[in-house]
Amino acid sequence: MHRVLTIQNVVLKLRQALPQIQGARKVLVTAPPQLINHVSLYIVCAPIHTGAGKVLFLSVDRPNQSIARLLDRHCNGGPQVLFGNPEMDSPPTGDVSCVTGLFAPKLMVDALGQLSDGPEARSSMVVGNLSALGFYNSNDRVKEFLHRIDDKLREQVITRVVLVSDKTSGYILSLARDFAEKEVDLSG
Amino acid sequence: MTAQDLVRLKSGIPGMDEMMEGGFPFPSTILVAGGAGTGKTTMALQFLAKGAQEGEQGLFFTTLSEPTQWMLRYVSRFGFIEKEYFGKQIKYIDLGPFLTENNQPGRILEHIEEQIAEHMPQRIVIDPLTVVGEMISGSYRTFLYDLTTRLKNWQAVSLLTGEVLPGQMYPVELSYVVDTLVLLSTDLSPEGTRRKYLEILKMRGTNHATGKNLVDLSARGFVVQVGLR
Repeated sequence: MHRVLTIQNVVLKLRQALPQIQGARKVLVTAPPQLINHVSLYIVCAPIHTGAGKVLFLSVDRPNQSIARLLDRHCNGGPQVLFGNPEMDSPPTGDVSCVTGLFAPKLMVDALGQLSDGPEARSSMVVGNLSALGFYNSNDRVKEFLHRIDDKLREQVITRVVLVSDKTSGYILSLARDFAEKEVDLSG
Repeated sequence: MTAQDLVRLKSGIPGMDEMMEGGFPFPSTILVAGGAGTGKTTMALQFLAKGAQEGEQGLFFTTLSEPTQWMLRYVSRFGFIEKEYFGKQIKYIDLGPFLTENNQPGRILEHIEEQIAEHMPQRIVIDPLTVVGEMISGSYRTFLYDLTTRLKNWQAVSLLTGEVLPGQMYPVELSYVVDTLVLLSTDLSPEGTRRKYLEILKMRGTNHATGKNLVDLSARGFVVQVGLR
């Protein structure tokens, strides 16, 4: 029988997987494409970040305005949300920093450098939807992006990264799998 | 570099997915245009019902000030939809009262986006959108451009229905701002019965079937008889 993957049971599966994610530095979460919004948002607001510092949310192909509304509506007045512009000179501050619209090839890598080099190290980074980067960037650019994240982890500018992706791009998924220490599959 | 496939959502219309590489691109905006009685609302409901079956969230905006119970009364004769979907997987929102009191395009867009942010749907219907054009102050074209741009940013498939006046093929001002244009029409057969047709006029990023296809509209819902003209 065809099992229906509802938003509710995807979120339930994710909630059950949170203890596994808690200790991991590099996590890949795969989810059905149409539920990526819910999953990314849930991870950004998830208790894994509580008390651990700030969260940097790199939201691919979503504009600030809609992400702001979603966080405001669904994060229950929790984190203070400030938004970064990839071209800004100094990193934003706040509990959740959000960089959106990272579809220009160069900006994507530059933004990562600019926004995480601030005086205050951020403890967690969430990237969603990683697979959507494939629409706007070459495979090499995505690879470079992941290398850059790795550098930031080594430098302890960030202490954890959660990549949220669907499975539509086989190449990007394989890159993400090579990168991640832990994978949580919510897609089936 | 290999091409990345577009994610697609099944339409819920028997026969239609095979005309368009498996479904509507996700996210995208679709205009379903047709005259009275061509099946626009039925098609929109079937699209939402399919989403509900798949575990997705749907949002149905009506601009006609039609109470929920009125809609449910008509919908109850269709076999494709469970009444239990309404209020849960399918949220029904009557925009009519809001539109009567607010004719500023900016406020209307705000109101629609508030509802979308609240429910985070994967499928959105605005039925019929063309009514809004008669109610707003300011430029309808600018409103449509803003609306479709914002809808695309919400990561959903948005199906907008448009009324077509006699002699008009489709609402031109809407056809330019959507990704997909589906035309519903009727024609008199030589025997004097009125037949219904579906035709995909435009679908970005998709190798779609062309030409009119006969449609069967009954208690089973909207069924495309692919290849039958």
